[in-house]
Amino acid sequence: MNETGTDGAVPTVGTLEDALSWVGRARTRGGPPPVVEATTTRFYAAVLEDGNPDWWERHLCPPGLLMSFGLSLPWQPGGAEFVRPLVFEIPLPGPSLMGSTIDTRLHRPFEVGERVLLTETLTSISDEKETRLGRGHWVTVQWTYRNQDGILCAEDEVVSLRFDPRRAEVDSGD
Amino acid sequence: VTEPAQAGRETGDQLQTISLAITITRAIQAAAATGDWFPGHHDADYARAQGLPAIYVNALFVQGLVDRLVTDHYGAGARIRRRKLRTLSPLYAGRTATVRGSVVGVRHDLEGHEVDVDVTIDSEDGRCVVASVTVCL
Repeated sequence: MNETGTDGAVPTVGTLEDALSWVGRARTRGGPPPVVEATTTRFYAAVLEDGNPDWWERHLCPPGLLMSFGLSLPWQPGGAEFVRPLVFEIPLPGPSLMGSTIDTRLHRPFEVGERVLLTETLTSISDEKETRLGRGHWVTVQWTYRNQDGILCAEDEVVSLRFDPRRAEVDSGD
Repeated sequence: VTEPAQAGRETGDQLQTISLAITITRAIQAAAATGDWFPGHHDADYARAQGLPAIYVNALFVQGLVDRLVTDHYGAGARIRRRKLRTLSPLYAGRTATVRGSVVGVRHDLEGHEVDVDVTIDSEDGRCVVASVTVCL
C-alpha cells in the first residue's frame, strides 16, 4: 500500500493501443450482488441533509447512490479481489480521472432489501484531447442496474476524462 | 390535508434554491457514504499533486444534490425519470454550493405531470455543474 493508502483507487496506466482493445468489453460485478441497506441510504441522505421521507420512511434507495453498488469495500477477509469501476482498469496514459457527464435513466426505484446486479460496458474511447486539466482521453461506459429478479431499474451513460495533470496547459482561469 | 405545491408546474417557474456548505468533513463523509475512495475526494496531498486547490466532492454527492433540489420542491413521491449532469469544474471543499432550478418544460397526460427542470450548482469558484432533470409528479 502506498503512503496514502490509495493503491486501489488510482487508475491503471497503459497505452491508447492497449485501451482500444477493451472497447466493447462488458463486466458484471462478481460475487453476491450487494443489498440496498437502510443504514447506507440514510447515511447518504444525511450527508446531503436530504429529509425526503422516501429515503427515511418509505425505504427507497436515493437514485444518486446507485453507482456506489459498483464499488468494492476497501478491504475484505481472505484477500478477495478488489474490484474497481471499469474506467479505473482501462490501461490509458492518463493516471488521473475526472467524471464529466452522467446521463441517468431511472425506470423503477430500488427498495431497501433488494439486490443490485450491475453491469458495465465500455462503449468508446476518444482520441487524445487537450483539456484544462491536462491531455487525456474521454471514456464512455454504460452502467445497467437490475434487481434480483432481473428487472431493469436504471441505466447510466458515464463519460469520464482520463488525463495526465503533468501535461496540463497553464489554466487561464476562464 | 396539505395540497401539493403548485409552484414549479409552469415553464419559467423557479424552484426554491438550496445552499449547502461543502466542508472538508462533508466531502469525506460523502466519500464514506458512497464507498468512493478515489483519493481526490479525501486526500488533500493527492489533490494538490493533481494541480487542484483542495479535495472535491464526488459525482454521487453531486447527483444527490441535484435530486434533492427537485424532490425538496415537489415533495416525496415525485419520481425522477432522467437526470443528465455535466461537471464543468470540481466542487471543492471549503466552498458553499448553491443549487438553483428552473422549469423549462411541462407535459400532461392521463398519469399526471412530467416536468423538465434545468439545474445549476455554483460555488465561489463559479459554475460547477449543469444538469437537466425530468421528474414525474
